[in-house]
Amino acid sequence: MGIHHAGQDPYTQASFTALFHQYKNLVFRTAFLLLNSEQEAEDALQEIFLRVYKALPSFDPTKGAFTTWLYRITVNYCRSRRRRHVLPTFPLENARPSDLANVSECVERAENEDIVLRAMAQLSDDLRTVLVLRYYLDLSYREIADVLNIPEGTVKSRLDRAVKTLRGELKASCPRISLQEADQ
Amino acid sequence: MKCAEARTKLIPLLDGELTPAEEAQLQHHLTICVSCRQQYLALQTTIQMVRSTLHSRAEPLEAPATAWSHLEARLSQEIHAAPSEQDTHHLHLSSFLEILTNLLKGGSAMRRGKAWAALAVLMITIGVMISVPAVRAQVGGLLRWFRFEGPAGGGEVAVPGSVEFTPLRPTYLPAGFQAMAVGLNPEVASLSYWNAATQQILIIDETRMGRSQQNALPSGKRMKVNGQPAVLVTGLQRNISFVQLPPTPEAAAQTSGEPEEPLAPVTVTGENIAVFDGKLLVWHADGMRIEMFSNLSEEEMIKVAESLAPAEEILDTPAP
Repeated sequence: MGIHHAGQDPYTQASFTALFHQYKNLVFRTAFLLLNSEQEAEDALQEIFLRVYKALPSFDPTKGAFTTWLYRITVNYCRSRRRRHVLPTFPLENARPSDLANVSECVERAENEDIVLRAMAQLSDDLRTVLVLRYYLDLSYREIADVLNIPEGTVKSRLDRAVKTLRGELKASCPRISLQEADQ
Repeated sequence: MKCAEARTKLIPLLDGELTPAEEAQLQHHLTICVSCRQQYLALQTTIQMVRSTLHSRAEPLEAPATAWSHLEARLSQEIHAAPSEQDTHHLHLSSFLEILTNLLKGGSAMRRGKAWAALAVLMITIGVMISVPAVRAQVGGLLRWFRFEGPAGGGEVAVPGSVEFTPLRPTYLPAGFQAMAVGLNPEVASLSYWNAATQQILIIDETRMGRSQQNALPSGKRMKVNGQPAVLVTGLQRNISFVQLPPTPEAAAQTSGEPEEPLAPVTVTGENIAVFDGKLLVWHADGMRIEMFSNLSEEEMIKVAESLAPAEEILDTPAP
């Protein structure tokens, strides 16, 4: 089976192929962070781009940037998938410490990351999503508001709740992690 | 500023989301309030850990090598299952021009620093040239620039500088084409030439062959292109649209304020080409799978195919 099929527009296919390769890793990684699972992210990648393909004719550049539209599809799909499935927390074997300087640093950093991921997994979908959009995709509050179709003030309050909840979880989970905070 | 108010602004401060006046006011409060300063440091550490963890876990991941072939199979099933929708699945040129506009202007969904790293798909149309010299000057060695000559002029298109990929372009084109579009990313080059008035079209897709991609040639008439096995599939019907919508006001409004070269107006609007006698020529060359769709004669298609040569790479340092 080739890219083209009878009755199918080759220009569409060529363009969509380029689009897929442009954004596949970004979507895959974002889905991984939202779903906590590489396997789930692999399935999500397929479903998200299938939705993108079907919805492309309705994409209106005058209503927002393409990436905002793509992130919206990604977030909405991952949310619906999480609602349908019980997803795992991050397994320890996902640790990838090989690029670190020494074994003890590797172990400590991987442990800290696992603690952060486990704490994130305890958050609601809404809170975890704003963390990924802000601290992985590096979107501004305005951009996050556009992706999630919520007011900017809601983005701010969700981030506030998410970060402060995480801080509490991290303090409780691992006293070794220095949060440089005096007792309140 | 009271502590209660200050604490609602600590995370926006760390995220760079406060106005200069708010930031100054909060910074002043932090210099005099030990408790708020300690909370600020704790939140800063938390955010650093979150950011570092997300990047550390996600960045090593690559989409599976089989992802495209699996998606292609799914798309094929969907298309065959819903034939009445086939002709509505057009990715309009405007979508790519929108991406381009965002990249060039540091658009609303991408920070400027990231935009260049992600630069991949650019489209140019001859006669409606995108203004790129200032952009070339900004990005320096981050990108590799290639020049494409079209029927009515030439244009320059870029891929990330780390990409070991040189797109091929036809050095021979039959007379009659009036417009050209080029899309590039690290794995795919797509060149389109058309003339809506005469309903003439030539589309060349070049895809890097990966381990997992389905590289087998389709069924059809066996031929040779520069001595390499090729297959020609005939009797294809297509309806191909090139539609340009107006630029996004939002993208223009959200630029960073830095002086930039304006984009030349793009005027490719509503061009539609119905092809009733389309042919698809497929072959492999230089580690690429090349698919050429056209309503040219078989002989002309072979002539164009055999004329493919690496696009000229622009190596000189662009003048600012």
